Amino acid sequence: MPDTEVEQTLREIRERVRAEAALVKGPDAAGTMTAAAPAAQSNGHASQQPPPANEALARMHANLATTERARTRLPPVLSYRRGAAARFELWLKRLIKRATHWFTWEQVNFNSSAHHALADALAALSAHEQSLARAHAEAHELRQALEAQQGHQRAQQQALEAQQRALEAQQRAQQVLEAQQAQQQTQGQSLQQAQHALQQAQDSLQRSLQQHIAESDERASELSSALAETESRLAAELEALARAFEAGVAQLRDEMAAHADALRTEQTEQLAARSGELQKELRERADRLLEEQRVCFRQLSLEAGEHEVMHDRARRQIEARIESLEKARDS
Amino acid sequence: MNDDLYRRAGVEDVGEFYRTKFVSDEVLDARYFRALDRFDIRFARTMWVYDNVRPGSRVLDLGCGAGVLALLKRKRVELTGVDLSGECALAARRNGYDAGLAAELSRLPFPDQSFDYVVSLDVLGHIEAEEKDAVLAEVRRVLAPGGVTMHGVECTDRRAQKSYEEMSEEELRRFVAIDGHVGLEEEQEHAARFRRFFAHVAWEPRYTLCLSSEEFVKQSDEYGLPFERDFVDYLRGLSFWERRAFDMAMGYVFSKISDLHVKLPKGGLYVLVKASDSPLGSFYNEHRDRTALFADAERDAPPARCLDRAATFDEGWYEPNVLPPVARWMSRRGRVRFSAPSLSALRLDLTSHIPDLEERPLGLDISLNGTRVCALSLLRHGWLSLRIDVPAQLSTAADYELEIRADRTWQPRPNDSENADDRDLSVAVCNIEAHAAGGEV
Repeated sequence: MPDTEVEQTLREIRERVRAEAALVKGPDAAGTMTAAAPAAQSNGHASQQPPPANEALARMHANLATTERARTRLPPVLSYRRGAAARFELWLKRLIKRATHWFTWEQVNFNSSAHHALADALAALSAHEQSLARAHAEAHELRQALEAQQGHQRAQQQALEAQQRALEAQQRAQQVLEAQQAQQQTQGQSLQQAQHALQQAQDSLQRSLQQHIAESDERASELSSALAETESRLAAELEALARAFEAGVAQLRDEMAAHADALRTEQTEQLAARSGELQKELRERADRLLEEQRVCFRQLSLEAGEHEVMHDRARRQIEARIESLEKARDS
Repeated sequence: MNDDLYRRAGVEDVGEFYRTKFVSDEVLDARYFRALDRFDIRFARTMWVYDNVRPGSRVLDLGCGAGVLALLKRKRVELTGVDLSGECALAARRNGYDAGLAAELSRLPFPDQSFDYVVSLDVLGHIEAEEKDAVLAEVRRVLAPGGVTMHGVECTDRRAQKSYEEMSEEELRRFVAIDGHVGLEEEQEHAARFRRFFAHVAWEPRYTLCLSSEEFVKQSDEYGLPFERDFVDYLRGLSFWERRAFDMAMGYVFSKISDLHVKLPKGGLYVLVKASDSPLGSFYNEHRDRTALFADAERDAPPARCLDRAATFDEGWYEPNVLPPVARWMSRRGRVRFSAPSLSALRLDLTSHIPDLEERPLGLDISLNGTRVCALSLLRHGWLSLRIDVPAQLSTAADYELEIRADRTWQPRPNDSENADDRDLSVAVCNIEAHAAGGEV
């Protein structure tokens, strides 16, 4: 039990230190400290300055945890002496314990009352702190709404200014359009004149086209007669080419046969040479294998000889042993 | 098999994915293992299993890959491998496993209580979380009473690595493409899972400090682990032999951490887990007996006609590769030490992969106990069978040192950008036979 109590106490101390550190680092705490700074500087006693509300509540929480745990705790009856002195001290303390029981009981009651009173005060302060926080939040929301409304009005004003600028631009565009309309009227007159000139040119072109068609018909009849003459000449040339091609193919066939024969002879010679090399290599390998085989057989033969001698020696030893045993038995 | 995460990551054929990732031409056969390699960080997990397995017991290797536990044959265990990929199972068989089967790990093709030990290395991190319980149930089923199961499991650190649910499609695709890890969990989650199946569970975070040079670079580049940038760049620039020295040093520290039972902090990389229904023995070295690693091949092996597995090859030789056959590549100079009561001739097969051999023949000089016995130029690729007659004055020396010198070497990487092999190579040699005077040794 004492171990868990010590552990709990240490945990509380750690929580308290953390709460203090958080309060010192936190933005709210910083603001509070800044606001309180002039007062602290004016009296020159920074360490005696009243603590911020959050910090005070945190400390009160920590202290209440201590009072909650320790309000009914009485000092243990023990001694750091030894022997008779220790026994006497313990006897005395037990005596005093009974004598002062009424007083310690009253102290416990008082501690309990004080603890509950402080707890009630802490609850009230917490509720107050929450209501303050809500008020802060409402004020913050109201400010944001006002800022939004102000922004909306500013945007409307900008839109009106833009509309005004657009109207001015439209007026300028209308003036330009009127000027363009006058210019188009003058261009229409010149276009009518050009159309008339084009009509005249088209008539002259149509006449010259009819003349060209007549000339083309004459030329086409001349070309068709020339084409017939060319076709007959080409047919004769093609026949001569075909004959020359057949003669070339026959010559090539002869040459190819000659090359094939030469290649066949060459390949046969190469194959014969390769076959000879392979045979030589095979013969060498076979010789090596035979040599290896001979050495292996020799080794096996030597081992077998060894085994045979060993076996013979062992057999003779056994026979000698049997003989000696038989002699021993007979004697 | 539940392979939703594989599908989300764009892996359609899981068996093929693992075949291309984890099958190499590396020779893991126990007969080719050099005792010094017990300090190599690459064999650190194998040595943990080796030192915890009873000689002559039955061992099942879950997800055997190419057969990383083949060394256990030195302890004369009955070694069975099972893998999702048939080719992996075959590779394990080639490396000396008594049996190699292709099967799903959640449906093991063995009767109940068939094995004294069920072991897996780098496997549970490749199984989705939903399927792991089925696998552990199968492990429990095939374990004999009192049997022990041991696992090396890749882990994650959720503080540094996103979970699969948090990854976008592209992030998941990139993450799974690195190693196929679809079941990474934190160390304690693995331990809790084992506790649901076994009464006794012990676990130790490992690889927090010691990683191979290659793993440092990979964890930094591909998984984004925050190693010091200049250190990773330094590792990136090391040559083959420098990397080997680094890995040996790391493996040495790793083994000492195990021997001294030093507790390492959680690393989010790897955890070793040991579990059983019976009370567990020591987490490390429960059945430590390394004499078989140092077995004198000249003494214990049959009179060796072939020196490939019986002689001592010095640092001028690289680990054997499957070419095929199984052969050792040599740098500029390599020595082979062996013993023979008498020697009339040596016979060997050799080859080279130097590309310009025909233009520039490779000069080879062969000496026996310091006496030049043969010199030749290699003009062509393929295997050359070479027989060298031993001079009479050397025929009864008993201890021999055969030395081959090449006049130049070649690196595969500069000619092939996708090849990470930066070793200096001259010739590969195999089937070295010693012929005794009057017949073969």
